Amino acid sequence: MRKVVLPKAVPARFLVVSDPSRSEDWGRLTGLSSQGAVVTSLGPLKLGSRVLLSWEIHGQKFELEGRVLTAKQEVSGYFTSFIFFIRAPERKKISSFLIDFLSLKSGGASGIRTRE
Amino acid sequence: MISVALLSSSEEKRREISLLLGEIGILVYGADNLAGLKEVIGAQSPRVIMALEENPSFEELVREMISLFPQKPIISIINSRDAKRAVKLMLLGSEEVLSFPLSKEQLRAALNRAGKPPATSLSLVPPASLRGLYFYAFFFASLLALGLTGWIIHKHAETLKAAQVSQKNSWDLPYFYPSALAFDGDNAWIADWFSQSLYEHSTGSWAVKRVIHFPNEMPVSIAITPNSIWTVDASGKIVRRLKNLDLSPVEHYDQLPETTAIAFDGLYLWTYNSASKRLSKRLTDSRLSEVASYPYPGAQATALVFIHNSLWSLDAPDREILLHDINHPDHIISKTPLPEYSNGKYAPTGLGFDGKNFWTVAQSLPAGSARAILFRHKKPNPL
Repeated sequence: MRKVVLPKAVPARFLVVSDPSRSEDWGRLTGLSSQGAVVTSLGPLKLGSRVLLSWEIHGQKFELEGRVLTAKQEVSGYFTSFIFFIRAPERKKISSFLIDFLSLKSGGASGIRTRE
Repeated sequence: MISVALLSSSEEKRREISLLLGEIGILVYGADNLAGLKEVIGAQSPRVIMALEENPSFEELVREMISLFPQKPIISIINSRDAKRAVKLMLLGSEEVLSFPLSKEQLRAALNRAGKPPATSLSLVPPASLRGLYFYAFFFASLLALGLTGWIIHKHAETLKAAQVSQKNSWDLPYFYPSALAFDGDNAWIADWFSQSLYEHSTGSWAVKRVIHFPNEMPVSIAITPNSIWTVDASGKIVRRLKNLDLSPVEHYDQLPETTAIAFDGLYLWTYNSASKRLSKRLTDSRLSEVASYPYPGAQATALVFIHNSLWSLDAPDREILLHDINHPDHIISKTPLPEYSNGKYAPTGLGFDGKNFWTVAQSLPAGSARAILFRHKKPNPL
């Protein structure tokens, strides 16, 4: 399966919808698929919490709601969480974006690595 | 030792942050302006630049630092928690953005990672998206076959697509710790104990249709009947649930600790106790009264499945599917090995039957090192 690696992780904002007392936080997306995103941040995310995640890739803005399915602290001190996108239409939107993006980048644009 | 060039016009702030950094063993060189920073970098070559926000043109300062020192990772420190601003600074080139109040843990983490920025990997993991790729494959094949008649192109693409579908016998799943699998018509249910959730998948694409989270349970086995879903959690709590949106519990049964597998034969609930290694046939009364009990003839059952009147079990340590004699379940009629597990990369945790094939779900070895996987197996004999 084709995979594209952007050498600099995409910055992202996230708002914990299930915890209104917490202000919006930020981190970086280290993985993105049509099912969910892997977020690395200095602030932890609780397992099971609902999160509104926003980011921009190549001029296209996304804002998706997801649920934290895995959350762990890395040796570096950063927290890595997998956020599953809850809504099917949103997963579809990401899926179409990825299909377009991965097919466009398959030629190996500058600074972007592709793997099969 | 990591060294840092700290840019701030305020001596007090430099001292305050230097103290924090000193406590975590970081060497700090202070600079009160850009000229001072150039000198520090020229003379000491610190590994990282940390810059404090002090006026509205901070973004301009970050831009200038990036153009002057493109090889140095820059950590920006802003005065208030403003996620939009933080993301903007990261897009400008700041490797990390911290905000006051600073903590030693955050400083340590940010400095540990400085100079080794993570990457974003984009991939189409779920099979639902494969439909799009199949389309491109079909389109490409059609171009190559230009000149042939439409009928030939069509037949060729159909054959190709059918071959691709039939060759695919494993699917990655978007979670890591599956514990059970059961089929229900066109859908399949998979439990993941770590996320304490049941995932409903469409069996056509294996896309996730629904996730039901159990905040107080860690599901280890599931069984499906026409009207209900039975779950057993790690403590041995058995619950019968309605097949509604939330899988609302309708009946809670007495706890049966060490129960790791359940199956329903239409009349009796069958359970497996992993400590005593015994299979039990039970009434569905409030106490789940045991009608009969048999020693398990394999190494350890991880899942039980009923197909019509035959009882099957997944013997995980031996990587086999066992068919039991229904009158004497402690006797094995046949063993079907699972060669998919011979490389030792996965351990099977759940077994299901979709009406045609057996399927197993598995977690990676060591646990959690890779996403869960689903295997379609050849039809075992005698079926």
